[in-house]
Amino acid sequence: MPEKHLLSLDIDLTSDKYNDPFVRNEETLSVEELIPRILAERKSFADLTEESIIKEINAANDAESELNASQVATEAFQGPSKEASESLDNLSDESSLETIQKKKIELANCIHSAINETSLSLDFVSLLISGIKPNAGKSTISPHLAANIPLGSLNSDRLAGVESSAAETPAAVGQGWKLDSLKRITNLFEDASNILEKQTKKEQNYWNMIHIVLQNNEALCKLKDPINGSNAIGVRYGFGDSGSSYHDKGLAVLRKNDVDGNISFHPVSDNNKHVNKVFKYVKVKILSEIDDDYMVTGQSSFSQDFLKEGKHEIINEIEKARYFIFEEDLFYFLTREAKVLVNYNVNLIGNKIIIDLNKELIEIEALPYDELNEDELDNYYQNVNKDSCINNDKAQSILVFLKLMLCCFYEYNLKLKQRVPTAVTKWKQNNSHPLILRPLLGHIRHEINLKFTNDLLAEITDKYGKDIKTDYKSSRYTKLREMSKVSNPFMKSVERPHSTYDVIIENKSNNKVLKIPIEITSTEYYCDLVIKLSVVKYEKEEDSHNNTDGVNLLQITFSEFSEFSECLHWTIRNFINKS
Amino acid sequence: MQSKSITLLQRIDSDIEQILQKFQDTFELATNQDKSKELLSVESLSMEANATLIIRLCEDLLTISRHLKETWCLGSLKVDGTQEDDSRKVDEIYSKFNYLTDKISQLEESNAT
Repeated sequence: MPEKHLLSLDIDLTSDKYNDPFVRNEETLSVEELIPRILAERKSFADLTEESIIKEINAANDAESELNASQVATEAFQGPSKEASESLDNLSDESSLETIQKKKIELANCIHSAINETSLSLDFVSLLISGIKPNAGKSTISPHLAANIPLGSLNSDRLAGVESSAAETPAAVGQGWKLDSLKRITNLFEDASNILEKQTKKEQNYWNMIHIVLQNNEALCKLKDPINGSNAIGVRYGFGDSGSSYHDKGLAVLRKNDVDGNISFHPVSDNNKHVNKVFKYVKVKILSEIDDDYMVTGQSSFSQDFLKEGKHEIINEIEKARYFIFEEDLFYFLTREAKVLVNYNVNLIGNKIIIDLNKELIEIEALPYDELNEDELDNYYQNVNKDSCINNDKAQSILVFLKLMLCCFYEYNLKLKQRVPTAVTKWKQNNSHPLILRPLLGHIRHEINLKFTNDLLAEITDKYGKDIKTDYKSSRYTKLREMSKVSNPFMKSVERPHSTYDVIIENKSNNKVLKIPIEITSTEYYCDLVIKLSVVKYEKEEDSHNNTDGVNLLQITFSEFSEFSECLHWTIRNFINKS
Repeated sequence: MQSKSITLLQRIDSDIEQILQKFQDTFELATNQDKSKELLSVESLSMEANATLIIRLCEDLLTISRHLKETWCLGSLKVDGTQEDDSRKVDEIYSKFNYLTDKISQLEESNAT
């Protein structure tokens, strides 16, 4: 087997045990495989002859035998160590085989990693180049990279060489930085000073206005602005702290204008909501019956006292709101009271309370306040003609009276609040209603009743003048006179009207004397008439002065004037006839 | 003195002290002698920080002044001490009111006839 020697291949390696794809068993090679192999080794078949091959083989054999001979010689020379070297040979034979195997595997690994590295760097270069020449890149890039990374996504640039100069010394750089910072600081300070200056101006403006309000003796408080929930200063312009029990306590926010710091006045309701108020004022009109028709004969005037010249606008606004909240409060209680008085000719129609008195109507109405309607505000209609103004004074007085009575109620409430709270005071606080219409009506009716009584007594004197001698003393509002000290200036209207008559009738024929004390007053409602009549009979005139030996004839309480009149007539007729 | 006003005064003092201190610091930091680059950069930044702090403190002073005014306005309750003798006033009102009441009802009487 000359070829085996030629290739120096160990036949054992070609056995089935070591099946290496690169080392094939040359004896099993087919002709198609063999020919290219021979071509690769001998270049061409042209110079290849059987003799030259035999020569070659012989030459190779000679060389081997020479090598063997020299080996034998060295073995003979080494003699005693032959066995040892033989065993060493055997050992090295086996280990070289293993080493070759290892080396081969190592080599294969190295080749694999080299291929890997190369393909990676090829990929890198392809990706890099794909940015400039996409086609060139595309043709060499690996499919995996092409699928996952878009072409041209990697770029490169040449780095400029870092210049080194004198500016790089720390001192110079630091100076630059610091100059820069100082410049920025200057700008910061400038901006901040501008802003702060504006702000202080605003603050000054704001507090000046607050001061103006405070100078007007307003009660200020802290509250939340309902519009944006910010803290603000509010003003209590209403009468909530003065004893008013009206639902609107008169709270307003003094809103600060963010631009110039001015404040503006905005009323808020109890639950901190914004309210838009329609200002209304109370007007009293008196209508008299003239020729079966009711004509206006007087009306109260409306004065804009709350608007003062020379006062700051904000003060005027507060005063205006205060004025109208009082009017509102007043009309609210008037309507509440009017509802109860339906039985006494008091009607409530729309925004109008109409009190029907004998041949006269008193109208109380709430009119919207219109700043532009000068005619109305200047009370132009008050003086249209002579008839229409005869009762102006009275209408005005009634209005003043109504307002005073509301103040009286405030005072009463305030006193209740200042007392030690007990169940009774609490009950009183919750169940008190102002006396406004009732005293007005009560006084008017009382006067009418007194007039009727006067008329009646005059009539009696007239009618029975020939038989009897009448003499009477009247005293009005007796309860007030009995009072030693005035504690409440409004006592006259808080107490029920109470007047007395002392009538003494003397029979001309027998000098017998009737003493008739009459009390005229009213119920709690002020409007119902109550007449207490008692009749005492004396035998002599002196007895009546000394109040001895009197006989009680009658003691009756009347609630109607006609009955009272009838009874009095009857008593006197009886007195004349019986005695 | 109330504890509230003491704290306010203390705040004013500490604010002003800090403002002056920070202003001085700014100028001290501005010097530039043989310092390392890192130190210089830190210094220039802290100069700016000082400046913003001064601005903030100034704003704080403004807030304090607002706070003081608010306390003055809202904390004080005025009592009008110029009230006249009560009983004389009551009597005066009493007679005036009685006159008014009479006026209302009297006029009515003359009309009713």
